[in-house]
Amino acid sequence: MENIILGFQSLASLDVILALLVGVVGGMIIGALPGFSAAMGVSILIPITYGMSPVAALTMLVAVYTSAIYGGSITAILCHTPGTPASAATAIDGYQLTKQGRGMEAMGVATVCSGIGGTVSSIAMLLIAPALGAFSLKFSVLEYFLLAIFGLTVIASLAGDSIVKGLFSGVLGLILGCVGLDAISGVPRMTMGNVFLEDGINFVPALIGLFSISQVMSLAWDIYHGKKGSVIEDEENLKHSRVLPPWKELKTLIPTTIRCSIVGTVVGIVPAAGAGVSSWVCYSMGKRFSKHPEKFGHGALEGVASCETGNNAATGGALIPLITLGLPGSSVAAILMGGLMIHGLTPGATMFTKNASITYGIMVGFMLANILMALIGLFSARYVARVSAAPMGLLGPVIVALCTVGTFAIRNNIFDVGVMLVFGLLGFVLKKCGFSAPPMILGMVLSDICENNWRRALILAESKGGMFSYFMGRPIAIVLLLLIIISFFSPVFMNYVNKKSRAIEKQK
Amino acid sequence: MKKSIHQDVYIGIVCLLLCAAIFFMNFGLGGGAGTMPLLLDAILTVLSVLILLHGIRKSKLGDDQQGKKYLTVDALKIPIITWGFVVLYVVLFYLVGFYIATAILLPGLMLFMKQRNWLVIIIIDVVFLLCIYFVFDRTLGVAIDGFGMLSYLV
Repeated sequence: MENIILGFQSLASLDVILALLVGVVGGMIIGALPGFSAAMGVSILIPITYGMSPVAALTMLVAVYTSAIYGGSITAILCHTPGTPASAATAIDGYQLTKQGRGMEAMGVATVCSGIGGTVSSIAMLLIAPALGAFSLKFSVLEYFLLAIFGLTVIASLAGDSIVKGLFSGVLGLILGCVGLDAISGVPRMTMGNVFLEDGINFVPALIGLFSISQVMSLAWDIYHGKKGSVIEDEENLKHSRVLPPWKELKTLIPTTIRCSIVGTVVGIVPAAGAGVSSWVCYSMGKRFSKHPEKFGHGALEGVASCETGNNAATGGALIPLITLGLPGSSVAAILMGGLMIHGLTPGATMFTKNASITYGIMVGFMLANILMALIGLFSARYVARVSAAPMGLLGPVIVALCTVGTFAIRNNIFDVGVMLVFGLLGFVLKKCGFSAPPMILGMVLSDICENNWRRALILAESKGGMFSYFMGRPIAIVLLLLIIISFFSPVFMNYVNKKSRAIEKQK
Repeated sequence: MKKSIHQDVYIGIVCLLLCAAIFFMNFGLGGGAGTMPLLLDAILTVLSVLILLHGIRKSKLGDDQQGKKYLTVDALKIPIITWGFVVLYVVLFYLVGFYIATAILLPGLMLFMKQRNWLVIIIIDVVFLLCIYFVFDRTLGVAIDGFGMLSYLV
């Protein structure tokens, strides 16, 4: 409790409150722009947060994360264009409601439910994270190595259409993470004689290039092929309609919201699941438990409530393994891990000892961001939706300039801008060739942790009679290895179950 | 039935060349520094071969069964020109500094992206530069290079 009060105290300054507000509104706008993801929003903002205090900076980043997921629902409901992949399920019933003239009511439900889902997950984070952080004190280099490997098993689910290409992307990320002076022997690796590369490839310019510059390149193609911004359906009607459905209808959504808050948080904790998976899981669960499942797909408020609660609950869930174990389960979490690192914070037990005031500040800030998001969203959703109609030809160049100045500002180094350029082109080419970018980011983040801990574990094992006896003497390592095996084979198993159930369905 | 080489064949070959480059950069590094990159390079080589084999398998199918071609001149031309604009912007940034480079390139890229309303373009350019000045220079105290290399020459 003392720590939570400490968290509130660390938020009580003008710069943090301002950062929170900017994060919430900025996140909503980024989420509402089709083609712009939470990952892109967070990556653009990381350099801007460089000059801020760690609490203000990271509160802003987590606020952008949760608000962007919510922002995606605005255009999903009002324009039938999901702003982010996590809002794809929302578009099904949300847009049907808009066509029935109840768009603002759907928006109101999405706003309230997103706020509740996010707040519940932040409470779960405040309760679970410290215990998990204390548990991580028992970890040694071997456990951290296995944890990094566990994190890498996520690649299969981030791979996109081709698992082989996704794995290639992830392994390439691991190799790129090796560039620079070797931490143990001090030998330069793959630096090609360049002094700037001896520190390794700076993570932030790389991810800005991969996510933002490559996206602007794709936007340019869209512009030349006649794609335009989204159009709000029945805008006149939206101006006069009520913001929330009647209480009689609203109270029927309470059980769904509670259920999906819990399930969404749990799904968020699972590496690789994330907001997108959570929204679909909660949508199908909402349908199963509903008294009127036949209304799903034809404009059910319960449908909107279930997926919107689920996707925002997953954001808080995803932050738990990130802060406590340094395990990023999604691309946004991997980017946030970069944000933690540039502010000198190392995920793990120290987050709850040496840096407790910052950590609790971030967690309480995340909770406030969700509450603020719901309040601002109720009044501004219809205006934010208009952003999606903004010409991409104006936004694209502004993003390029913002990325360039942000990247340069990190170290006042033009070389970093060059890294951004190279990764921008690389990201675009990879995407065009069917390779997915998130596994590469995950690989780059985990490369250092993976290699250094493994080599230290080898040195330790030598003094303990070999790796096998060292490994057998560490029960947590054995459990982690089992989890890795399960996680590695789970996509194969899930694929088998999926095929089987489809075959049975066909026979019926 | 018309057949052509599937794009994954070329992609696989490029991936294998990349693997060879990584191998030569890390082979013979002392102090165990090369172990991890070489191990990863071996995995990368296996994956590259798989991509190549997939491409060869697909090449045996007819063009209509190979799926959509993603590496075409049409798909690459506009994005690469856009990237060229970004490169030009960075070069200008280096030579004459952020403010002049942005004042020139932002309208240029907007025009390339089919925006024709000069008033809007100029307003966005000016507002953006002012925002950057106040946010980075004044509020966050981040020094943005004044006039780049030009300042040294002057």
